[in-house]
Amino acid sequence: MMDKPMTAAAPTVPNSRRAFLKGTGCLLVSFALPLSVRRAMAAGPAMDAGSQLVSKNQVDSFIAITAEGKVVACNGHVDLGTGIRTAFSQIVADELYVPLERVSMVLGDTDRTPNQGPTIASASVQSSAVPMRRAAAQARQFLIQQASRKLGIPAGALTVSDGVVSDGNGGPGLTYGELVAGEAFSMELSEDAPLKDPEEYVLVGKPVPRVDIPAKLTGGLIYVHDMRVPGMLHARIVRPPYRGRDGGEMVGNSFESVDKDSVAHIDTLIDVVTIKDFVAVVAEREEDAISAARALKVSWKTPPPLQDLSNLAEALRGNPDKVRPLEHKGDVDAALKDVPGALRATYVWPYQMHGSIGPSCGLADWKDDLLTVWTGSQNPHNLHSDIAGLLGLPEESIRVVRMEAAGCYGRNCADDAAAEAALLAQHLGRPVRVQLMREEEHGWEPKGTAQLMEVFGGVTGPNTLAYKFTTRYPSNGSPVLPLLMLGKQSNVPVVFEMGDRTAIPQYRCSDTSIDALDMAPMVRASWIRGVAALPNVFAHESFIDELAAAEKADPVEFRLRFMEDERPIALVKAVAERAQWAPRPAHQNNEPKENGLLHGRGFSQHRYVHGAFPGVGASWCAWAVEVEVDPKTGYVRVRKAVVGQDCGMMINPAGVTHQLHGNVIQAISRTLKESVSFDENGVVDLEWGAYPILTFPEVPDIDVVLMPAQGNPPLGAGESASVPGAAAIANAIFDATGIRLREAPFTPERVKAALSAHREGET
Amino acid sequence: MPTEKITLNVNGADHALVVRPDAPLLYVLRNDLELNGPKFGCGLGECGACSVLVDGKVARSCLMPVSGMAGRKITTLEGLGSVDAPDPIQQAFIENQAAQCGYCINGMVMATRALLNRNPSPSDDEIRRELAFNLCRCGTHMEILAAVRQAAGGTEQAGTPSTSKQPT
Repeated sequence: MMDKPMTAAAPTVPNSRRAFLKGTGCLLVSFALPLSVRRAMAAGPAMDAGSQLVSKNQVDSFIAITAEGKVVACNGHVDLGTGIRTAFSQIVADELYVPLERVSMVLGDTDRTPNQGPTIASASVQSSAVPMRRAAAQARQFLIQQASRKLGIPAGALTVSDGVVSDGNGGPGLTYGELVAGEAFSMELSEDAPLKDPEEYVLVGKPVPRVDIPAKLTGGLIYVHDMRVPGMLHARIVRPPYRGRDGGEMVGNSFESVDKDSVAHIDTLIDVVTIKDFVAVVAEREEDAISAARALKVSWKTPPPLQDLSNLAEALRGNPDKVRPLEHKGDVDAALKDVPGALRATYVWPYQMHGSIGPSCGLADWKDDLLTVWTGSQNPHNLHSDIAGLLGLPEESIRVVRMEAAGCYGRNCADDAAAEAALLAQHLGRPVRVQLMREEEHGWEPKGTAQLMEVFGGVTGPNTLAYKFTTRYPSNGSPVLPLLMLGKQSNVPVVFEMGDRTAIPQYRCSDTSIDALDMAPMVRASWIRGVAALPNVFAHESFIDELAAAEKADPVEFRLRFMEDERPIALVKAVAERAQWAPRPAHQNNEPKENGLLHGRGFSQHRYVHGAFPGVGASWCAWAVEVEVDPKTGYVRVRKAVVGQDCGMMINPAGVTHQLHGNVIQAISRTLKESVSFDENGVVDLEWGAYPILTFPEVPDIDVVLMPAQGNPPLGAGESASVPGAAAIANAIFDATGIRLREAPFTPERVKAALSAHREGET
Repeated sequence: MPTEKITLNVNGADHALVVRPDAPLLYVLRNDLELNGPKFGCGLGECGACSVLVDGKVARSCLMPVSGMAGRKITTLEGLGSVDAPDPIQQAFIENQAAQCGYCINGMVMATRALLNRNPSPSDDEIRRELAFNLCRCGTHMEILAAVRQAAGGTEQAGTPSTSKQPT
């Protein structure tokens, strides 16, 4: 009976969705996303690009109550290993007064969930949970009204407990299942459905165990990598020689020939598929597919040499840009003309990898004229449109199902693997699984881009700065590889306007000149944790420390002089207190300890601002770190990190703490160890030996400070904690050594070179 | 390479298979026995995601030719315990919420199982050294360390080493 309102309203809804609704739904609450979150493509990843099979006008997202009284909640965002499935379940269960285990979440299924934009910027709780909570509240209100009618008791006299509506005095009660059975309801979400009073929350705000973890610890079927269908074939892709480059005339135009005899000896080989620069081998057995991919002789044109990326500052300055003014106030040059302590500094962030531990995987299967694609994508709806375009099929005949995958921390090759599987499944008419090898993920994952920040600033009054800032961020959304390999998408790189993330300094300024210098990628590059904000804040928070050092001021007290908002001020003070921060200027009488190591401390704080400019603020975060530097080897170790966050209300405080730990460790790894190397063909680092990440012996003590919510709504947590990390470490190295490192990562070689240059400068 | 007959003992049961003798154990476990525990991470022995126990010692299944596995006892994550009856290490990982994406966690658990098999009460340094070559990108290290400490401590407190379930 659910078919009727759905089919009448949305005739393009495919059969599987109707079956799904028929099997579960008796009550639907629809809602529309606020228009303000819809963004233009150029501003970054479009929030409503991609497929829209779950009609926004009718049922944007919904809560369904089954005849058994179970709650099925759907959300377009996905769980990237961050615990969002659990947090969403807590929200819905609390709002509907049912136990957590009675709620099941459907996330990122193009047949079942609305397109709520990509799961990025740790924004799921802050953005996509809000309308879902409202839907749950409205569903509850509706159920109470139904009960009122059936029981003949005024709605105001009814209470809900454990999914049963009753008068609360032992009178007859009706379960949710009984209230919806046999009837279908669909309604538009009302903006003012009364939400449950946060004081009454029993699940939200509690450290609820994550629902996904037991299965992950026991080999349950959770990951796309583990999905199997009968008759599934194994494919491996043979990539062109321009490793990790997706712009330029050679892209899609480099294939010359293939020698299929070179793999004739492979036992279970099914096919060698070549379509322009897309080359794949398909076999019945996975080890045979791997052998075939290694043995296959392909002739490629020699790609034009990649520009020299060994000097990133030079390369970034040479990349054509378009100036996009972000904030201009007063006249920075005039304001700083007679300021003796004014400084100029250039900061460089390297190319980095997302570094998913599991290389991407995708699986596609044709059945009954429906192509089902299983993927670990963070953006299944967008991938859905890409696959439709790639295969020349209507979106209605494709269903993209998101499964969990190895953490991606941004855009990795998940979409590529899924689209490649879809292409091969269409070509062969059989189910095909594509698993990238380690060297493919390392080589082809869209890198977190190198970035160049230039600052000119100084103190213009007792509590004001003048600040000139430019940032170059050559990165975009990274088109899905097979679209490029087949020439179905232009190989001329698109410019994304994303360098503005947290480009505006969060200190009181008398004069500002803030520009984003937008530019096309130099190699395949897309968002990674902290997007442009992490490098931008590396510059802001290093620079403010440089100003503090020039004034011989304590770095925390100096920052507080220029801060205005109560919440970050309280956070900075709380973190300083937890770190037992005693005021003193940096690098004062710093002698090596007995073991020959130099010790230092560093501070940094900022609020992560993401989304199209001027953006949305996520949590405030502050770091206080202790480092030790070995002057003989240049080796830097972070000994302790006190990291505080004000993210307002926390759905799951345990989850927030775990996410903070993760972001802190990853940020330390990126700051101390990570940069991608290139040669004339492209990416050089194709395994973990060439691209090391932080290991257990290097992990510091982490002390987390979570600020009380004080009635503030939830803000994106986790990713915000990455953002101040690099500067805190740079500032601590300065405190320890007196050297100012303005280019990450702070590898032993770089630190040692800076130390010896420093000593030479002194003598 | 021609296929051969081989009998693999996995999680206490014998499986007769016809496979390429040079096929890495990982693909046989995942594809022929449909086990999800061991994961493909690098195929190079660098990350540890594919770890299994071979005769009670941790081994990287992505590098081990299946031909060398005849007559040996292989244990995967599934062989340690289940959701309803987890191994004490799995239980400690669950209680400490020691997984984010969880892709590496198989390796962490198997390496811990092997460590506790031979050293029931490792120091913090010993735990960190043991796990130094198991990579985690989510940064779950704090929770993993807490879980391993709990699993080790539990063994100590109980006085009965978790060898009651120890696969050998």
